[in-house]
Amino acid sequence: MEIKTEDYSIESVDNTKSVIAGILRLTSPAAYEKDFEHIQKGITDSSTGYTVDIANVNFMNSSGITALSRLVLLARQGNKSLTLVINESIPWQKKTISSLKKLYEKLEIRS
Amino acid sequence: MRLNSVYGIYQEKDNGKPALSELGLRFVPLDLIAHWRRCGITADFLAEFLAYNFLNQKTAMSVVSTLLNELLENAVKFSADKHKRVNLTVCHYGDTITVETTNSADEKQAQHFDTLVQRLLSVDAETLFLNQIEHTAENDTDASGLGLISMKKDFNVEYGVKIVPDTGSDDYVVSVKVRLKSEEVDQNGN
Repeated sequence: MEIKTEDYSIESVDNTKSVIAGILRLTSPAAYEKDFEHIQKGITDSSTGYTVDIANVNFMNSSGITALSRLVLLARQGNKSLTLVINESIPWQKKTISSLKKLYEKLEIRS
Repeated sequence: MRLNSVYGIYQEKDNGKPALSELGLRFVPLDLIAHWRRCGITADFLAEFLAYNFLNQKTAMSVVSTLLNELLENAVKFSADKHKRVNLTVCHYGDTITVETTNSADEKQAQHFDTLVQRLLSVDAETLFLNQIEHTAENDTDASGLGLISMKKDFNVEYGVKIVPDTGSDDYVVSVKVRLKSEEVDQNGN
C-alpha cells in the first residue's frame, strides 16, 4: 500500500516495514490518523517486530511527532518490538526522536 | 479578573541593540487554515532568509523552519477571531535570532495557554515533553504545546509570552517571542 501526496509518501514495503518520506505538516494529530492506519495495523499484527523508516522525512510538525509517538505507545501497549530508522543529519530527527526511547525500552532507534 | 500576564524574555529590559535584519509579515488566519501549506511555505521562505546569518546554512534552514512553522501554526490555529490579523516578525541580532507572533485568543484559549507557559518556564523540558505525549495520547487535544516544548528541549530556545486584554473586546492579544542562539544551531551542524 502506498499513500502519495504532493508533499509526502507513506509506503508499506511489506508486513514488517513502512517508509515515510517528504514533508509532513498536517493540521492536527487526528489528520495523521488515516495515513498512519496501516502502520498501526502492521504494529498490532506484528510477531517479529515492525520498522518505520523516517530517514527521508525532512520536516514533521509537532502534530506529526504526536502521531509518531502514538505508534510508539501502541507498540508499548501490545509489547511489540518497534524500530525507527532516522537520519541523524536532520536536526529534529536527531534531537526529538531520540527522546521517544524514554517512552518504551523496546523501541530501537537507528540511523 | 482578566488575565494580564508577562513572562520570560518580555520581562527583560530592552538593551537597545538594533536588529541587523528584520522582516515582518501579516496574515489572515482563516486564509492559512484554508490553505494550510502556506504555513510551511512561509516558514521555509523565512528560514532561508535567515539561514544566511548562520555558519551551517543547511542546519539553520532546518531548525529555523521547524521553529517558524510551529509558531505560525499555533498563532493561526489558536486565533479566536479567524479574521483578525496574525503578525509574524523575525529579527537577527548577530548572535541570536528572534521570532515573534501576535494573535487573538478567547478567554478559554488564553487561560489554557497561560497555564502551559507557566509549566514551560518552570518544568524541565524533557520531562514536560514525555508527559505531554502521554497526556495527549489519552486526551485527543490539539493544544499540547509539544512544538514549543520540543524547541526548548532540543535547541534551548528562550521564550517570552504576553497575554493582555484586547481593548474593546472580551478577547486577548497573545504575543509569543522566541530567542534562538546561533551557537545552538551551529553546534548541531554536520
